[in-house]
Amino acid sequence: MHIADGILNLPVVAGGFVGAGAVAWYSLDRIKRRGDPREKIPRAALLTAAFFAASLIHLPLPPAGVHLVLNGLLGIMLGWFAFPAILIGLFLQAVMFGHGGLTTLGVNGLILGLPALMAWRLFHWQRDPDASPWRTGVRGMLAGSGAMVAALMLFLAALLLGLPAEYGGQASMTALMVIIGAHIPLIILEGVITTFLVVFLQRVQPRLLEGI
Amino acid sequence: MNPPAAGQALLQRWDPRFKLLGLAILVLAFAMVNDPAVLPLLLATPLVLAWFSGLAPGFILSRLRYPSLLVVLLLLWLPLAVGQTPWAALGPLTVYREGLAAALLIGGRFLGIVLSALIILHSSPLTTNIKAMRALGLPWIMVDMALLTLRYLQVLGHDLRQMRLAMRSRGWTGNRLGLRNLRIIAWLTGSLLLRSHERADGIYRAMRLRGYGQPGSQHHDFRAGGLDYLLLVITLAVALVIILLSLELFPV
Repeated sequence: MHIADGILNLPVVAGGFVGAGAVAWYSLDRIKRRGDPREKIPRAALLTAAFFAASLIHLPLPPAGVHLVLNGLLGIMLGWFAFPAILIGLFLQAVMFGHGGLTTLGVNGLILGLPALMAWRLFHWQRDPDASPWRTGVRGMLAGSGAMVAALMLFLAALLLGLPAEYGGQASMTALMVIIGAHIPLIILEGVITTFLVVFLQRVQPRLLEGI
Repeated sequence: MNPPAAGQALLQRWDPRFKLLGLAILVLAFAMVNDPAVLPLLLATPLVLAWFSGLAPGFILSRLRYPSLLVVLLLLWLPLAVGQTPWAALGPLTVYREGLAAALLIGGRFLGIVLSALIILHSSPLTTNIKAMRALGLPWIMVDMALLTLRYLQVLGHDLRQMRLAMRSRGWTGNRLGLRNLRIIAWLTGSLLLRSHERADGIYRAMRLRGYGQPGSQHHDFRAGGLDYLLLVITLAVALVIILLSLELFPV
């Protein structure tokens, strides 16, 4: 769910950088307000690297297979660190593998980062840490699938805003419907995997679900 | 005439801070291009950069292995679906002039930006580029996170490969998408997250012992000279020409 370089017009590219800069600044401000962040930085960085590595796992979904995004789980585990972590992950993906884009770093950061923060709030809203694995799993499903639905909506909004108006019309709407349809299996997969993951972490190391 | 050798190349000697500034200006100018007539100049820029980068052409092309799926879909879809003026007929399909121009623009901008970024960013080590971003004002939390993420990406990638190898040696194939396989993939991911979390505390203690967080540990040693300023001015001039042509102040 990356928008590559060259697709979006300049106002949307610039708006993406302004928006992502503002959210990153606010996230860093919240991190600093919770005391010296130095001890938390290695934890956030290593989890970012682990998410990056996990996103390379290939799932055999016909016709071509998919890679996990896991931005919902990243939000649950990293909290305010999630947005900077996603920007860093996207930058490294663009530089090391040519995935995504540099001019679209801000837009892509918002597409994946805002749903991660939303998933964090959704998962922890009135949560009882001693709740049964079943209840934790339901929260994981909502956070994982919800983050993907929100990311898909932001992705479509960026395309609608960023592509010239003359590309519009019935053919464009059909193309957008195809994009939505193609992402439905991924939304379900992200929800299922996040469910299994939060249940696993609650059993093995519940502290990881409390954030860093 | 051969391209300059690695290490001696002009782009490799350019101050990374100025290089990143130049890249930012250049790719934003490329993103403004809305006239297919400007594309030859846009695509000539990465060729010039490649010449002065000291990077092997094979290395640059190998990095283009993963073009965005969205770009490929747009390049195929736009000429067939957008526009009113027929340009060519391919059996039952009609290629429209306006859609073809739009596809050329997207493809040209994509190639220009991706190639320029690849060449400029790979003419210095990634760690140097991140330190240069720090010198340009990127918040230190993001710089430290980026450097540590980069450092441990290979370690965790290696861990993941070993864990998958161990799973395969026990008979797991993972080529079917059932609930059981999804649970195993989730446990694999969870184990990787646990390992990285446990490793992080030891890393933090080791970093503190080496002076992490002490005054002076964030200083950089970049020094700019006349050549660095000159190269930035040339880059600015190229970007300005592209912007002026894109704004159709000087029709081509």
